[in-house]
Amino acid sequence: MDVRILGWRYQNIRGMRDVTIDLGDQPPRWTLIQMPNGTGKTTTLTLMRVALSDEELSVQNIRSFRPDDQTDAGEFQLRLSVDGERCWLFVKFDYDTGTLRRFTSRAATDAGGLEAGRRLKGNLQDLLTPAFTRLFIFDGELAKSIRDVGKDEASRAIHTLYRLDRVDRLRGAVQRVLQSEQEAKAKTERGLGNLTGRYKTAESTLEELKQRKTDVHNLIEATKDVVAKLQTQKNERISMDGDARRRLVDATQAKAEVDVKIVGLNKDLLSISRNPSALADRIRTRLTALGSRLHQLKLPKTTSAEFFRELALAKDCICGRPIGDTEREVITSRASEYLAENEMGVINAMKNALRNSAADPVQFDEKLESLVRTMRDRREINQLLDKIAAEREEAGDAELEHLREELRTREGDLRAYQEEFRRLTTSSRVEQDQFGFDWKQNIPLCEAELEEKARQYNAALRTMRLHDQSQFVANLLRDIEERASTKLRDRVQIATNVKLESLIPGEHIRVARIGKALELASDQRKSKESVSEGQGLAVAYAFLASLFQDAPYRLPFVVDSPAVSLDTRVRREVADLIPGLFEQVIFFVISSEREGFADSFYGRAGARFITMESTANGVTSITEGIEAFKAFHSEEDQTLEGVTR
Amino acid sequence: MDNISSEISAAIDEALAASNGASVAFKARFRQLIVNAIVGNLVDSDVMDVLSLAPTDYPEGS
Repeated sequence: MDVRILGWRYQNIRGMRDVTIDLGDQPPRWTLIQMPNGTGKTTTLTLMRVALSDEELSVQNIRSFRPDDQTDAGEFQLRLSVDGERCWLFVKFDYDTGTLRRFTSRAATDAGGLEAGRRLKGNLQDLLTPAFTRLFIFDGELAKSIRDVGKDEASRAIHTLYRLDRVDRLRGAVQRVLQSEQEAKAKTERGLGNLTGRYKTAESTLEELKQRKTDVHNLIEATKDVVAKLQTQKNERISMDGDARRRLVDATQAKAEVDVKIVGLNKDLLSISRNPSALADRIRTRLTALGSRLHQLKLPKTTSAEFFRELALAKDCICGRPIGDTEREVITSRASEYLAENEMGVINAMKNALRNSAADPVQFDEKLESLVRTMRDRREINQLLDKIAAEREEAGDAELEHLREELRTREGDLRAYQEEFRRLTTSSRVEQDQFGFDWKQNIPLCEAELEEKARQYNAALRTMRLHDQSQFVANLLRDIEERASTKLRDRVQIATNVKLESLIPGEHIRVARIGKALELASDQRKSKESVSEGQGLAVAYAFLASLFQDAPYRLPFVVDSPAVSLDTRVRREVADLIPGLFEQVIFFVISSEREGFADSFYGRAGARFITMESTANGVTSITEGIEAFKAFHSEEDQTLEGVTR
Repeated sequence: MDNISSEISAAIDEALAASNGASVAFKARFRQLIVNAIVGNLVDSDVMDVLSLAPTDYPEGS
């Protein structure tokens, strides 16, 4: 990702009422801006950091930008190019409240409209934290406390700049995937063990129930045989008396006829009950009323619009009256009131269904009455059969009495077996609920329970597997992160020390370790606690240059007074070192830095020189060009030069 | 070629070489996943696919 600063604009910020620095769409590689002390160098760097990151400013800081009591608002605009796309970052200050608001404008996305907040492209939004931004919008304060470059920032900068933070995010994604799988599932070995136990219990219960079903089925068949034999024996016994045999045959035949009739009536009643209108007057009345209301509804637009068009063109109406121009106009204009969307087709289908639902309610009542009568007949025939047998018993037939008793017992057994079979096998939810069956008594319920337990067990097993696998992957990612972090730190450290060898040749100050802070050492001291300001700057430049050297982000480097505290020799080294390491560098310098530093850029192609100063009436003037740059001399700078010399 | 730094690439190779029990398929897919993550092309479904290839002591469910 390539980020360039294309310019910036101050409005009502300190002495700068409306000042624009325009570096153009192809900014120079090196821009040297000469400003006397106290004219806004530090302010400019602060504003750049505030625009680029979420750095906050105190109320006091914001109010310090206020140019006068009459001005209640100010603005700073930073114009960027991010991978060739233009982007404006706005910071608007309210001096009365001491607050600021950020806005972004991206020509590529919203035609220049302002979006609230800082909206940078892609990962840049996260990359540019206040602390990280200080590393390339570099105000020299950092260099003074170079040992604090660390304070978590050295390692973190490497981490972020070389996108190792994304490995960390990947670890987060692994946890996210795992958590979504773990919802409402077993998360522990114990949970998995419990589910296994419950699955096995359901499995063995199902086996027992199925075995019992087979046993009960066999008992039913065997008992049916016994009952049939006893029935035959009983009838044979009764038939030993001629009169009783005739009555028995007649009654048995009548019973068979009644049974057939009952089956027929049941079928008829079921068939009639499928038409709700046939069941009750109240239902029929309500359905008819609904049908009438639906008749008032509209017609489907696509299929019925043509009807009105044709009617309007016809000579006569469907009612037989002639259609004149007036009627034609009325039909055409009113047609839309009778048309609706095509869903109306469904309503029409319902209308037809209701129209055809008329039924004869008397028929259902008659059939029902007939069924009741026939059932009564069957009861009477059964009573007659019992009576025939009882008469034979009273006549002293002990064998028949014994047979009937045995038959009653066996029929009772058969009913009990059949009831148990039904309890074991019914899949009717109504029956299951009505009799309070649970999965330990009923095979379909037990099968459902087993299926659910298997599902839970497999889900838990899958979760445990996934948990195990995610741990493996998370550990691997941690390992990679550590190895990569070490390698990158080593590379930055080596590159920093190579640069320091030429920058500070005397003491051989070097970076001993990039931990959470930059740990320095020298030939004399294993741990170099303090360095001069110049040495600190040299270490800082060497570190920053090495840090950004091969990073996938190309960022501009903005530095305030880069050489003011360096002696002339180191100035030249720094002047040689920094420019080659960044695609764009903006130096804010004072005139005393021209010697040994700025002057080394005079002959370079791609260097631009700007001089900014406050005139006597407080207006900021901007002068372009190397001649003005060389000639500029403020009174303060003359004093400073006197001191340094 | 991976569009990641040579240090990260070497770290991935070393860590994978040291990981015991991981299949060739896992190593290849994992490497691609981490490269995708670093270049900002991370998809959760890819994470799930790679996780399912990672070694584990648990048997597969029925």
